[in-house]
Amino acid sequence: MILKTRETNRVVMATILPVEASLANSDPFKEEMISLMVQGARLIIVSFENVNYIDSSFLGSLVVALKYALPRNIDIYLVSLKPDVHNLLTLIRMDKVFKIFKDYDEATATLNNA
Amino acid sequence: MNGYSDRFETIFKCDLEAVSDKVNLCIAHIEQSAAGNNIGLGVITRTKWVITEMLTNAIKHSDVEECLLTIRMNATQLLFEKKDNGNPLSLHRCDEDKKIVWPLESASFPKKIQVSHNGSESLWAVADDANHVIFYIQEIGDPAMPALLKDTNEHFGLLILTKASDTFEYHYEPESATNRFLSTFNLQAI
Repeated sequence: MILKTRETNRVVMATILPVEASLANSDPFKEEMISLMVQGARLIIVSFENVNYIDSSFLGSLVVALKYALPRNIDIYLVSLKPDVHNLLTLIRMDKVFKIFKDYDEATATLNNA
Repeated sequence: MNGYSDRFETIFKCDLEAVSDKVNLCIAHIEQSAAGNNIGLGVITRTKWVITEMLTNAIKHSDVEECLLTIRMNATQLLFEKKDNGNPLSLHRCDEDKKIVWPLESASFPKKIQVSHNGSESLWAVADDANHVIFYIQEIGDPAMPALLKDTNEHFGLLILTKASDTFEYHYEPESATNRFLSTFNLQAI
């Protein structure tokens, strides 16, 4: 299991458990993300609080999950990114594709303000 | 290669579980060799990304049991090389929608190859002969949301290697069927 999840009113807080988000766990991550959407999530807030580094394979899975989500009007937010992880997303401009927040509270505040 | 006062070699067994330890070993060597020099955290971070992507590519694409990693360093440059005798580089050419494999079959060089394009930047490869290619990024604009979902997915690894390095290139040595991927970091640019 790659994700530890908690669901409230179809909003899923999904915390990535491994310290390294890499080729070793990119496929199960993708499957778990799609499974959450199939089960009815309308928003998945993915927390990177445990992740020290991320590679291109895991980023690819993240994009596959987003590609699945967009036509179904499901949102994916990213929170609690450590500097190296955030910098890598910025390097390849993924920071413009995903909605990124400082933490879970900041992400959920956008829902309360909506 | 001349001019590098420090040289470190290590074999990477193409095992997914060994990536992290090998990356850490290489980074530890760089930090140790750079002691006293202002190599900068930025270079360390970028080098870590590059080594991770090179090792991941060895596992995903090379179809070999091991590859040789070499780090060379002097006061102005850090060079990381991955060498193997596996599958040569192959790319999906996005501008012509076809796969190309090294060594290139072409009558004329230099040859520009568009590898990926996302609306805000393009990844290009410039082959100056059949066996050597250098990658670079062409910035196009800065839209609010680049079309990253279109065709970039397959090329994240190359994109990271190209953008994190100051120079990223590939050499194919036909006599020995050897692949050499080289990433160079300019230390004076810090």
